[in-house]
Amino acid sequence: MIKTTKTILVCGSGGVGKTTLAASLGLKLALAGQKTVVLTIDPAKRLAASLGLEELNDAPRKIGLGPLKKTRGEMWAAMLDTKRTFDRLVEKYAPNKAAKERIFHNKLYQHMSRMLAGTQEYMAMERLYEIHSENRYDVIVVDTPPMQNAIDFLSAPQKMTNMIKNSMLHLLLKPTLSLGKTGFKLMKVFDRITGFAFMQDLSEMLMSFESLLEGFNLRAQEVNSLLRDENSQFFFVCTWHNRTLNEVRDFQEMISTQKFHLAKIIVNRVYCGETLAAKNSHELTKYFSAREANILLKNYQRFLPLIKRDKNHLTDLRQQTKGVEILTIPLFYTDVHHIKKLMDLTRYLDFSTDFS
Amino acid sequence: MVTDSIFDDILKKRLIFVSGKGGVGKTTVAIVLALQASRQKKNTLIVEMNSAGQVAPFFRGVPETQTSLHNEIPLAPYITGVTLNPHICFEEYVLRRIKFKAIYKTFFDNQLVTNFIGAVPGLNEILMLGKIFDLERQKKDKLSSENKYDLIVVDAPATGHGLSALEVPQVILSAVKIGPLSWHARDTTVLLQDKNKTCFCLVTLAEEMPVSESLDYLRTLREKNLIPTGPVFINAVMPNVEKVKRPQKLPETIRAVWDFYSLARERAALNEHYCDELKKNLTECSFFIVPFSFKTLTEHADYEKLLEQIQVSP
Repeated sequence: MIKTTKTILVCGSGGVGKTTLAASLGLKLALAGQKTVVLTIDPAKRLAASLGLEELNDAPRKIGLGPLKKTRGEMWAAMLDTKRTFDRLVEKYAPNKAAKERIFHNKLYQHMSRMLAGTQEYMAMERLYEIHSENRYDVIVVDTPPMQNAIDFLSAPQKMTNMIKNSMLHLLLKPTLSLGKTGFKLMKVFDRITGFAFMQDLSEMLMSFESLLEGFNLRAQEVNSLLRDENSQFFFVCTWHNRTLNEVRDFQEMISTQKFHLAKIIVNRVYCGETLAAKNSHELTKYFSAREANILLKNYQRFLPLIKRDKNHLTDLRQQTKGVEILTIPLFYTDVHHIKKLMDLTRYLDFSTDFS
Repeated sequence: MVTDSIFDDILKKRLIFVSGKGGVGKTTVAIVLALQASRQKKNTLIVEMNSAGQVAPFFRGVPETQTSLHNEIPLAPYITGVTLNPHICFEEYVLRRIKFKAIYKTFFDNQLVTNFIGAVPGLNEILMLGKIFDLERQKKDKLSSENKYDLIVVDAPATGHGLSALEVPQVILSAVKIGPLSWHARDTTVLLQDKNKTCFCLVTLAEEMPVSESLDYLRTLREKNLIPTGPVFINAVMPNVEKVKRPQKLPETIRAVWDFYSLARERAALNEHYCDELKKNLTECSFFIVPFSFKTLTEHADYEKLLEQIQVSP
């Protein structure tokens, strides 16, 4: 039987708990007997430590599951190193040594892997592709970079190639071609905007990139078909926010235009709890002194608006998303940064039907 | 009660950058600072650098789409808001350098601009910082020597991933030695480093990951001398609840009441621990405690109330 590697992409905006949830998903799958690798982009040191590692890096490392381990599943983890992934990509697609050296020595390239909009996203996709090609794992869980707008993320590979391919700088790269007077004028305009020296560095960098373009394009297509495969599933993580409903709607729209597969929406840090019937408040006095009952009740009442808010929010979300499975995770009392806590979290991640 | 004298220290500046990890409440703190400034009748501008029109709806109930423009719009007495759009920043910058709108139109149609801004490393950030530089120098009118805004509060991009926007001018300076872009980066660096004018306010939650990221970020700001650092806002700190003994039996009917009691107790303990951690690591910083908000912040009045509850940490 040919082994198919499944991929889970955990998406969402900053601060919603993607990294922790990705780790927890990985743990859940490993305990269910899968050989799992979690690719995180977040240098959360404590999380690495809780997984028994000093620090995560570019190469997947095996996590010791210790007493938790009862099955033959394995958990591996790696952290994205944008620069290294980019370097490898250049190595791979540079037509010759000279072209490669030109890129590596370009002043702007040195900063580029950190500065260029979308690089991190692109490289996350690239790294996913690399790991996927190794064909060593049953499941790859990808913790994606946070986005103001979660949609931007998946268009990153396309944007990157567009920028190299279609940028008007392209015109500048071939000043000797048919540009003539216009090209000369354009050059003058750019000189006034950014300065000539800068333009030279930039042209040089993009010119050297041009030799990689074919490889880049090919790779972007491969990544795209990997993402569209039915074995690639998207999980969208959110918390309550007044823009969450819009975010989810936009994300779903993007998923369907791109023909990706949205598997789950995870609502994190939910204030769960039944709103207490009035008669129950009397019951408190059976177990507590009047003073204590009062403290408890007052505390509970403070949380009521949040409980109601989240309840309504979930109703709205269910109505809007129709049919997409929604998992809710209650707000944890304490930080989740120990493997034990990750274990607790796995209880709420129920998707045994998809990955068994 | 806000101890005016301590808030005053920051409000004396001309330019405040508010930032922190994603989801910690940067916008909330930016709004609250602007409100306090407006109480002192300072003309205040809230600049959204990373979001589009999120601030305005809290003041006027206008939908985001109508406010996510590049124009300065009045939000409340003494408070104006603006969302920076890199494309318009680019047009303004280019027009200042080449003077002719026709040339701009010829060369820079929309798709080209989008690709260009995407292609040039850090251009996005340097353009927006440049715009803030201009806003800081803006006068009431052409003849006036009086500043249009007494205070500019910038709701800056989140920390933690990729390169910080505040680092961009220095990176450009190291990569580009001459030419307009380099001069532009130099001006911006000088303003960012000006101790009298500029200050960085960090926002964090008192939890493991935001705290460790915050400490790393402040270290970077200092090591690279990017911007003078000011006070730290610790957001959503859970107030403590009196201790109650857990009974031997806890029936389902009152389970929720007990669960939320435990939640409040444990959150409060956790927050206290990380507040101490922050203070231990940042001995020279002052701290503001923003209490956990049991009501969702949706309108102007909610922020006014929150402002009243902020305390200086002892």
